[in-house]
Amino acid sequence: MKEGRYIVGIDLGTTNCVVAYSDMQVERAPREMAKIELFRVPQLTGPGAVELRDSLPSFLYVKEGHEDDSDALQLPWQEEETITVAGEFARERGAEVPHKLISSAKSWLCNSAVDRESPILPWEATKDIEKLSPVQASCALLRHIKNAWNHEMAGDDDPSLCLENQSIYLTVPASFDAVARELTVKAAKMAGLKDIVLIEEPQSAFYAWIDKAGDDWRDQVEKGDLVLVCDIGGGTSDFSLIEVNEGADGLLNLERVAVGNHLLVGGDNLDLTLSYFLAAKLREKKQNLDTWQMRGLVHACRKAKEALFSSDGPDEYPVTVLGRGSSLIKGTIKLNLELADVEQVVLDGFFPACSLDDKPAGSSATGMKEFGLSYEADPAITRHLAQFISSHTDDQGNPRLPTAVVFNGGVMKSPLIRERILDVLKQWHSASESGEIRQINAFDYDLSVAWGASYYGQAARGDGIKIRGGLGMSYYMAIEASMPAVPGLAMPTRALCIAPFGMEDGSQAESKDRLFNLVVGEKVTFDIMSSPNRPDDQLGDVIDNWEDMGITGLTSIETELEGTDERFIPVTFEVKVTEIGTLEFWACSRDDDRKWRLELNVRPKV
Amino acid sequence: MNMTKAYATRSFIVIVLFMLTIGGAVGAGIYFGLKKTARFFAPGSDGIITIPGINETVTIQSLADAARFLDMVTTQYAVGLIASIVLVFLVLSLILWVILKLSVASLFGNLVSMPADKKDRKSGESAKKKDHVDKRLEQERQKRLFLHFISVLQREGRLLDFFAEELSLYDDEQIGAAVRSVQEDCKKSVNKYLSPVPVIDKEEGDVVEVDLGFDPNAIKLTGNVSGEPPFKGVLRHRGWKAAKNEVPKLSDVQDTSIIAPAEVEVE
Repeated sequence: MKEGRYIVGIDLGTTNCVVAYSDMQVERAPREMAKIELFRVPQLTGPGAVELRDSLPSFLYVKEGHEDDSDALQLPWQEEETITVAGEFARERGAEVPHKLISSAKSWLCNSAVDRESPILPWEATKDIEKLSPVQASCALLRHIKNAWNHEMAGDDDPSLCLENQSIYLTVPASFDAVARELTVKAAKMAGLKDIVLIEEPQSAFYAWIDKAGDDWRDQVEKGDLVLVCDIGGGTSDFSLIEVNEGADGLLNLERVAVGNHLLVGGDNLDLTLSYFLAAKLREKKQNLDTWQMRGLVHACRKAKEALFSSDGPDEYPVTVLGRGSSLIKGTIKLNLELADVEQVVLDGFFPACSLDDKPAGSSATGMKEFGLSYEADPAITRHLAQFISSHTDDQGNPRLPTAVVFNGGVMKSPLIRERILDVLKQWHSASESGEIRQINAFDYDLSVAWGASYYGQAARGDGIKIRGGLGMSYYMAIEASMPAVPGLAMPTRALCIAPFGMEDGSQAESKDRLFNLVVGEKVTFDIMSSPNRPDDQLGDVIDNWEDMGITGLTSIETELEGTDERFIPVTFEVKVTEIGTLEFWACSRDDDRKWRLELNVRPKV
Repeated sequence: MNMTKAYATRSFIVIVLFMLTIGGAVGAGIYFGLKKTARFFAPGSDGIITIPGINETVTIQSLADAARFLDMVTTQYAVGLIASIVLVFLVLSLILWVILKLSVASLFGNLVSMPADKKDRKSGESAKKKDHVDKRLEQERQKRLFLHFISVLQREGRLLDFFAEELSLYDDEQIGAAVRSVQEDCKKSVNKYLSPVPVIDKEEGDVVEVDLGFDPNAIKLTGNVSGEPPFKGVLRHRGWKAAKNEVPKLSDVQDTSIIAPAEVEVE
């Protein structure tokens, strides 16, 4: 890792990207943390207008033909061969021509149902416009950030201030598996950011809280606390558990003990659902909305939701959709959105009271499903939360309930939603008659993640506290079960644990007592599985019937052994957790010190 | 004319340097030549000169006086000798330069100065033209910047569409519904760009004091104003000032008078 002048935290979000940085050359007292600042990203906000914004909306608008040389899409810096525009203008313009809009690139990055390196986005594009792969789309966003930084901070030419020469910390959801992480690093490399470190978003949000609380943070948590980080953003929800312990030196230390599944449900679903609810109401009144009005309705619903959900908001709020063109007043549709309705649609739909034993419904009956991204079948975030918490148990097998909660993400700006989640958590506590839960105040629900990433960068240089974490999932390799083959029946496989939960960054694990004979000169492929909630599996453990044990197939790893004269090479497997936060799989020859790296397969499984 | 002048200076330097070098070399050559000759003629030398190439030797025996004279000249007047030779060359070089300058000046005057002058005039014209273009571009940019804010209000809050409506056609409830949305969106944009705050952050009706040296731009005095500050008065309007003033960077467009584009939906 380069020791750049700036430590830059980049929150590459599903709907918004935020960049925060700290200048390490500013004079400060010893042991004092450097001040963290927000980098305001210049971007197109309208045709031909470039302005600074706190965040870069993660939307890409694909230019074509007549727009290529248009002044309206020019940025103040020289762009290399790009076919997209990123940011606020892309979002607004893309809403008008949806077939040229790329959104949620990050969710596509962890969608194993598609080949993430083939050009498939925009997903809805029907005409022959140029397409990008999910990796290229993420790269386009990062490239915009890089160019914007170099333009604003380095004046386009001072290499020592250019973004590629700073220490960059890129955040990923805690639930991102090895493949998605690998692809994120790849996207960053394509954007010219070769030297980056990945950090988990919920951890990052927690760091932001530590930075805000300063030295007081030690007074606000105590030994034995289990902190739930509940991060509900625009498109995804992410949970992590962080345990507070006391070290040998008597100081508190932190350890991330569990991460949740990747949930494709977030704030945008709330707004969409609310607008469909209103559109249905309008249909009852025989008023049909066209797509243009529907878009206006989603905007209006977001505003109404924010107003109704503020701490002492009104009981009802008028939602208006103006008429198009010159019939502004005549075509105006007005509707009152009542607090009771919003509570019913949003709170009961997405945050219903439930018991700790509840499981998310498996079937998809919500009508939100769209082919392509696998949105959650059950939008009830609290039920996902119940599943997450109940799967992390103590020694006696009882679920460990969190004692404190940190909220993060745009949805959490609403006090009503925070209260609801807190109520549900409290209810679980009283049901199991164990302890209490309290809320730890976050400082900003939108900017925390980037902020915390920059803090973590300073901690990595030895200036602050680091959360111990390691691998957020355990990884397995499929091995054949020892049973006689039955014709016409697929051989059942067993799962061999090759990288246990919590493996530290920079460490490696070798399955020494398992030997595999690999054929020389042929492609060898192994299936890889993972599980976020089996923290007790040790290296070398073998699990039968893994499909039923919370382990899911991830992808395959493959390589080709170049050999000399021998036909078989006996090998053992080694898994490395790299310093930047990715996984590497190696096959090591037993007899000499030859090694082969097995590449993660990013194509969809057939 | 500049060209001739530059040429004259340059040629002067070159000619003088060249001539000085030659002069120095010739002076040194004569000096060493004389010295050598003196040594041959000196009393006591064998006086034999071997002429290379034709294998002939000449014996000189009675030029001792000439030798003494030459030796004296080369030792006593060496500096003067070389200096005078150099001086001669310097004078020669000056004469050469004056002749060259005169002839080249007339040549330049006839041939080069005409097109050069034309060129000068032309470049002056284009600079003026460029200034003019820049000025117009600047004006266009200012116009666009001036219109930009109203175009944001139209885009975000449909303000111009609202102004264009004939209000007498609708009843108040219908107008109210639309106004709510227009006001809300426009307010949001105004806050985003200017975030207006009061000039005097006190309640209307409060008594305020206006000190000496106040900014008449920021505070307008009404009523019974006479004499010199400080004044005491009642705050009637708190005023507005922009707490934020972020001017967007706008690219140049074909038509700066566009506030909102016409929308054409392609079927």
